[in-house]
Formats: sequence, structure tokens, C-alpha cells
Amino acid sequence: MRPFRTPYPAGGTRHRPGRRSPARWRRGVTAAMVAVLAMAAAALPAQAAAPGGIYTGLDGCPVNSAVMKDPTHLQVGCMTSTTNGGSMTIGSHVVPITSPIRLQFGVYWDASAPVVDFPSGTTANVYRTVPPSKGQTLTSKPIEVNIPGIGNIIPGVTSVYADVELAGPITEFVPLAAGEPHPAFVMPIKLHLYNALFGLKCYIGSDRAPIVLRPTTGTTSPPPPAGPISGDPGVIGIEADPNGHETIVASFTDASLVDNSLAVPRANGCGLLGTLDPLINLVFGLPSAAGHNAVVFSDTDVSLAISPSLADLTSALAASS
Amino acid sequence: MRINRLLGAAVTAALLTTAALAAPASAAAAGNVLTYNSTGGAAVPVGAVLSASLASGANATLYTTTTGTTGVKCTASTFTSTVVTNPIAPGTATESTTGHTLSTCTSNVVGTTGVQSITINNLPFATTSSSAGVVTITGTAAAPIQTTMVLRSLLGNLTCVYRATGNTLTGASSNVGNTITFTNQPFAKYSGPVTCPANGYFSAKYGPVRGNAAGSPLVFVN
Repeated sequence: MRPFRTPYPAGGTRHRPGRRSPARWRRGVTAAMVAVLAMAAAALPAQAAAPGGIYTGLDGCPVNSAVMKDPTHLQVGCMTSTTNGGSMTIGSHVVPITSPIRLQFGVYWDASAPVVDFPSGTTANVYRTVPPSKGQTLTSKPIEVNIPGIGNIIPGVTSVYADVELAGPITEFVPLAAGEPHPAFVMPIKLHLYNALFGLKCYIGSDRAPIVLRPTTGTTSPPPPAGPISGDPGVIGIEADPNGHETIVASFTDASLVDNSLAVPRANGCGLLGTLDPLINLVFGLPSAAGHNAVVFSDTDVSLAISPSLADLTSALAASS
Repeated sequence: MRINRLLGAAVTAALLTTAALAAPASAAAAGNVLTYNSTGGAAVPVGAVLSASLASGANATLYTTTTGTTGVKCTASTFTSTVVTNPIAPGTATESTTGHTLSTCTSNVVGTTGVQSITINNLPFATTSSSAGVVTITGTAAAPIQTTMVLRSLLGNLTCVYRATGNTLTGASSNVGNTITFTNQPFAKYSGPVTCPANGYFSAKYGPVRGNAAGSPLVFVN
């Protein structure tokens, strides 16, 4: 058996005059690196390409989640939405949404076939949600909030940055509630407040006492003194899979979801040992009872893929890449 | 004298009118607007019940466009009407449409998986049938022509309510096959989720139309 020979001299970088020219040696090194990289690439699991076409944006679809794989599920799917505008009102303080808020999650309709009946006679499936396989369920950027009564001279000191964070799983996802006086989903959130003086764990709401949003594209029925406000399901589109799969994609473009029945709890964790909590509560009027607050998610685009089977959904997403 | 002339004219007119009513009208040769078994046949009596199913090979459809084939298709449908008036032809008979059913329906609207039910609401509807072969069904403001469809979809069951545009449907009667044909009669969504199609165009061909007399005679339009 012939001994294995390296293509370049033992000792690595050392060049031996008369045996190989520098150019030949560099070519050899380059070829070796290419080969190594090719082998490494081959050894790695293939990175699935992002879904395209009607499935664009659903790259976080958790098709490999153990929860999604339960064979008793009647349907599975995944959803993404981006809100580009709107506002959150706490008492008399209105905070515009100036940066996109993105939601993404998987959904399944379990074997018990939960539904909700609307006055119109429509019966809508109620889906449970699953965190995405990639990224966060809720993604947003901090929004600067002026402190009432204080001129904003130094952002972050004389103002507050508020970031929306989930305070629990999104539940009761009802896509067919579009246009109906029923929440599209229930989403517990907390507002993470950033300010030079507030510390790192300053929140309005918490996992235990969240701000519970029940946004609807229909008309609300809030407690007084608030009056009904209406959302808008936007322009709906339903598309069949272009490759013949059973999966369909429902899209809602330029929708508006509203909720003015939410209550906003007290601040917590602000300043050393929460010493600034009372100040924030005073400034923002917390806690603020239901009927005094509102959230509007406007300019919202939603895309929902839904299928009777996980295998079909997985194939549909893969085929769209 | 003047009074006498007026009286004379009135008496003459009355006599002429009486004579006209008494004499067999020439139109009577064609019979009443609705007749049994043949043109010019026995008049369909007031109170008779007329009914028809879909003509052989025909479907009742509610498509989302006038030229497409996307929407709901039913292979069974019937209507029932009661004759209210049936004058001498040419003229217009009036009826009351008391029953209209659609069943054995399917949907090929994307996202739907089937049709649970279709119900025609607010019956009865005033209906006319003219010697010119025009059948007109008209609703009222209080009882508009309306249909409620329950479509099964992946996301749930959609209850979609549609109303006839103009609150009227117009069809064409024919003595060939004793049929009534509706073509692309427009309906607009009145209520229901946004996933319900916004429009529907109703088409169907019913026949033969028969009366409820002995032998279920065919109904002709004169």
C-alpha cells in the first residue's frame, strides 16, 4: 500500500525551494481549502431554503415541533403578521406605534375541534398556537414615549423607551373572526420600559398580571366610559397551493385590529427595588381600568397557511422554496 | 238636449262594453296565460300549485362571476308556486312562489370544503308570468329575496347571506320543455364573514313545469 502523501510539505507553511514554486503551492493550498469546505458543507445538514411564493414570510413555521406533530390534530398551519402603524392609549396618553411589530407562530386545531359561534351563524375554528421554529413569536423595536410634563431634552433620560413583550402564549386564535365582533386572538403582553434611571427590569404588566389584548377586526363592546370602535379585516385573499397541495393561504392586507376593553396594571421593577414604580404609576395613571385604554394595530398584513395535515403543510412549504 | 246626448253616449258605451265582455274574446282562442297540456288548453285554475325540478342535465349554480365556474353548484333544486290570477292571454298571470329549495350542492371556492346547506329565505315571493315569456320574482322591502348559504371551510363554517340585486329575479319561460330559465341573476353579499364571496350569479333551468291537477299536467304559457 502506498503511503498517503500530503499535497504540500510537512510543516505547513514552510516552502522548500526546488521542489514546488510558491504559485504551485498556493494553488495547492487553495484546492485543499476548497475541498475541505466542500466536505464540511456536505457534512452539515442542509439548510432549508425559506418558503416563497404565497408562503413568503412563513420561514419560522414550526413544522418540526413535537406539538405540531401530534397526529390527532385536525389541522395545522402557521401565521405571520406585520403591523406597521397604530397606537396604544393608556388613559390620556397616546403612544403611536412607529416601528413594525411582527407576530409569527404555528397553529393547530386539536382533536376536540373547538369552535366559536358568531351571531351571524358562522362557526369558526379556534386554534392553539405554537412558538416559531426561528426567531421570536413577537418582534418589535422599542418606541420612544415622552414623559408627560417633562420636555424631552435627552432621549432615554427625559423620555422612556417602551418595548412590547409577550407575557404568555397567544391563545384562542380565530382567523375566521375577521370582520366579526370577536377577538382574532388573545395576547398577554407587558411593556418593558427603558430609561437611564429605571433599571433593566422596569415593566408595566408582568407574566402574572399581564396586559391582555383581545384585538378584533370587528366592533368592540367596551365597558364605559369607552364607546365601541371598529377594526377592519382589510382586503382578504385566499389562495390555493400552486403545486396541488391541500394547504391554502388566507391573507389579510391592510387590516386594522382594535381593542379598547383592556386594563393596564401597575408598573413593577422600576428603579432600585421598585422605588420608581409609584412615580410611573402616577405619571401614566396606573393602574388604568378597562374602558380607559385602547390599542390599535393598523396597516397590518397577515398571512396564514392552513392544512389538514402536517405532511401536506411541510411539503407545500418545501415545494415553495 | 245636451243631457240627453250625454246619457245616450253613456248608454251606448255601456252597451258596447257589456257586449264586449259577453262575446267570446278573440284572445280566448289562445286560452288563458297559463294553460294545461297545450297552448290554448284548459286554463290553469286560480289556486293551482305549479312546481318543477331542475331540467334534465341542468344544475342550479351560484357562481362568483357571470362567466366563470367558481362558486356553488347544486344538482337538485325545486320551486313551487300557487296561481293567484290567470287572465286571458295575452296578459300576465300572477303567482305566489311558496317554495324554492336547493340541495346536493358542492363548492369549488378556494378554501371551502363543501356546502352544508342553502336556504331560500322570506318566502313567499310575488311572481308574474307574462305571455311574452318573462317570469319575474319580486321581494318586498320587509321580505327581500334572500338566500343563506352555509359553506364548510378549513377555518370553520361560513354563513353567507345574499340578497337579489334590485330585489327581483327575472327568468324566461318556454313552451319547449315547459321550462323556466334563470341566467346570471345577480346576488350581493348581505352579511357574513369577509371570507364569503362578495357576489353570486344565479342560474338554473327548471322544467317541465307541471300543475297539481290529476295527471300532473304540463303548464304552457300563452
